[in-house]
Amino acid sequence: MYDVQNRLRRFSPMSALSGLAVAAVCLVGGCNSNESGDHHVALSDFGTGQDTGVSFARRDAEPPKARKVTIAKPQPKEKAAPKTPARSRTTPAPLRPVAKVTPKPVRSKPKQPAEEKKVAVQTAKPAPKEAPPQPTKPASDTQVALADKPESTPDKEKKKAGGRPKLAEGTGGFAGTIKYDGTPPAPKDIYALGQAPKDPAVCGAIAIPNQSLIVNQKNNGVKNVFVYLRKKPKGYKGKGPKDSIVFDQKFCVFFPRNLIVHTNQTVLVKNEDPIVHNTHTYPASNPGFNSAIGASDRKGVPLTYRRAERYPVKVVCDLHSWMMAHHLVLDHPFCASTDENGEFAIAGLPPGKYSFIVWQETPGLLERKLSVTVKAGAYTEKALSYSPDKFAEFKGPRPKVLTVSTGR
Amino acid sequence: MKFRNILLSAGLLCAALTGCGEFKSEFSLNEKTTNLMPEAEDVVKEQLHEYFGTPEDLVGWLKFPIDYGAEETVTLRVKSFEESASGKIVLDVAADEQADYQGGSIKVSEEEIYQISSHDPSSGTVFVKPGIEAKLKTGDEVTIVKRHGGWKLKRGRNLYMKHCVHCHGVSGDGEGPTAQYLSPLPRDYRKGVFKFTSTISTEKAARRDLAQTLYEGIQGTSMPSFKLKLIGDDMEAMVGYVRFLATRGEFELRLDGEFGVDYSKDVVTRRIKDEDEKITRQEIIEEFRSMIESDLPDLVDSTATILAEDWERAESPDVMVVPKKPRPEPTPESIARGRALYLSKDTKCADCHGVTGYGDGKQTEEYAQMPGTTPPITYAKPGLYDDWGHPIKPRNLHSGMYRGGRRPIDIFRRISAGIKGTPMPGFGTSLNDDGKIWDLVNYVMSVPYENNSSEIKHAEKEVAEHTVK
Repeated sequence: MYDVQNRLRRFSPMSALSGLAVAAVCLVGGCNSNESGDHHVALSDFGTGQDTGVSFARRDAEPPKARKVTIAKPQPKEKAAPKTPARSRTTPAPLRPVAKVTPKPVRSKPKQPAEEKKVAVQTAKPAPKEAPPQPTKPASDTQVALADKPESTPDKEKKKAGGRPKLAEGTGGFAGTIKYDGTPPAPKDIYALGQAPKDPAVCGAIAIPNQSLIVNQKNNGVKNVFVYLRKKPKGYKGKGPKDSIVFDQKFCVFFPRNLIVHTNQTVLVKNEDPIVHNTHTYPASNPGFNSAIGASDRKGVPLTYRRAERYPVKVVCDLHSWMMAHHLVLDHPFCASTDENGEFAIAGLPPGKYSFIVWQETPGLLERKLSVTVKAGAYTEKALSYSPDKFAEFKGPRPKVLTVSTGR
Repeated sequence: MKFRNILLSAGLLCAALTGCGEFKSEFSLNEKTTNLMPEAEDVVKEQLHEYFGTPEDLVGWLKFPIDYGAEETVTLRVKSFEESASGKIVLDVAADEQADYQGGSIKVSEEEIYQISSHDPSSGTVFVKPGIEAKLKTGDEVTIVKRHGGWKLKRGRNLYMKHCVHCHGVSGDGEGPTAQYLSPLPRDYRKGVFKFTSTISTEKAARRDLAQTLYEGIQGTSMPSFKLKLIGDDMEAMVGYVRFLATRGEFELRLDGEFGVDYSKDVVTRRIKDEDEKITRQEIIEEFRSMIESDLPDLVDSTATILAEDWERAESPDVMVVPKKPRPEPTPESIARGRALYLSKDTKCADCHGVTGYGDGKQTEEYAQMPGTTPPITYAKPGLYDDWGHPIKPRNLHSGMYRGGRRPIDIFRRISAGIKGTPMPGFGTSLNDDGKIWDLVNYVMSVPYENNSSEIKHAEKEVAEHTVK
């Protein structure tokens, strides 16, 4: 015991000294770094700090420069943007007039493209810097035989006896059925006749059907399953249909439940009910749409999607919470939604290998990548069948919800 | 004992000092990014760092329509230069009316750039550190960089760090240290959605809208007005920085959305368990790597193009909500028409805002669905929710507080374009006669002054009972 105390007594001055020494180091090295470090920007200096806190070394700026290099005015953007008053501020006109001195804005001459930054992903290629991205991928075999304009809207024209669109010269198709592998669940209603909780005079005129999973009682075919290609085939240049399509609502039910929309195609959202609905979409790549559709609006409110969506877009009406539909927005026509027999047919595909997505609204994805080889002149047939638990609701982890009271 | 005290105090001193050492603010990651599998998370992180930098070292991606602030230079002649005091140069500043070079730098040639450490505007004397090595003669031309490229973004950052960060957070996620005490919560910019805009319902907020919010504040919330603080360039710089943060956040969210479908932690676990797919974790990682190798540049570029286009379009006059008719006088007739419209089947305002306008409509008692969930998930508590998942209440029209602004045109725009990110739809599509919207505006603005004893009120009650039944 004594020994320990003795040792402690001998030891303490040392440690106290070392503590002070560390403290001194802290004083010099730690806190002062804010002033002395040339890398650190004082955050409240109102832009007068010595360090340039912003660097431009982005792909749109050419020539590529190393970061941290002071550069002249931003380079002209690669695509001419519409002029807006706000934008014009960036033009080289000096904000502060400089009298008599020839305003000689320093051109940013190409500096040594020293350390061009690379995308630091182990496997990734350097991101394109100045040039717009070139299609770097090797042309797939689908590119060669691609018809410029495959027969647009396959369901409209040239129906064969079997109900499938006729295939154009040199193209193939993908067709099949989607079945429920089990006893088909009986159709259910969300609300029985006259039981709709809101606007019973209108919404109660019919029984509101539960359309989340519609299985044919006779042949087990599943209705309203989307089968589509996620991306348009390489080299596909077809344009979307010009005519608009109608998305309607009657008796507080959207019609159709599944709507395939081409990008930039006008969807006319109509309303046959004598009450207002609001059509509210939740797209991932497009701006959302939340507009009231007036009572008995037969002219329709135009809705367009500029960009393709990866998955079907959910469409709801906030006023009638049971109303739901899905829009599948693609920039190509190679998609289908199954009919009441669970059948689908996609025509006009150039021969090649494809991977399709099969999507149903209750479970979401049924197939992430369904490989299909398409040969010219024939439909590749696939009979797909899924067990009831595949159609069951996804029971995985749910998003967390923060519930706070917002007061008023 | 004595020594121990010394030891203790020295230790405390040391701890206190190290505690205040190096501080670096950082952009935080979205929860969706951290839910990706580590390989995918790294890719998102790298892309964000590449194109947006850190708060200390910002990167301006010129693809976006953000005014980063162009470099401003002026060319002047040297009046005198003493070699002995090579840090001191006297310039002929008569040519430059606003000779303020504080914080700028002097460019003798492309390679020789010197920071200006101090500057006397009256005599034109400029001090640089370290001294200039080149030999300058009287009459030589030198270029003064008054503002470095990106000065506006940097100033925006500095202002943001001073005024906004404690509520809105460093990365604009609305999770600053003060946020937990606020109700309603500060805006999370990272969705790129702002509620109060002058644009139609499908478009983003224009610069003027963000500026208006900064200028006026948001009534009934903790957002104050900055009209006394942000003067001149500061307002633009601030708006620019908020747009920068919003763009960064949305860019991240979109990458998350792209990767999350196949490569989030949950999906990966499920895919490994899935007997049909027969895939191992290693194979998923390989698949991801090859996807990145072939698709990443395209993906990044198209994502940024989407954002750039959206923000650019918001500035266009075509998407601005402008009433086609002037506002009629708020006569009792106009107010009564507005009241009837408020209760009508054409608008169903009363469903949320209540028949009497107290914000207690039927919809506030229903269970709402979480957006974007398949199959739909119903919120645990009834009421309305915004896109950020927070419960919101329809405005109580009696309070006389209008968050998006109290001018009639503001209320017109709220009704016509809706409030973005909330269940409030735009009625510009269904009430295609602007006169009707003005009637509604007149009614809404009359509600706080409603007097139960007035005759109009009595008449309205009859209308109410009649229409609701």
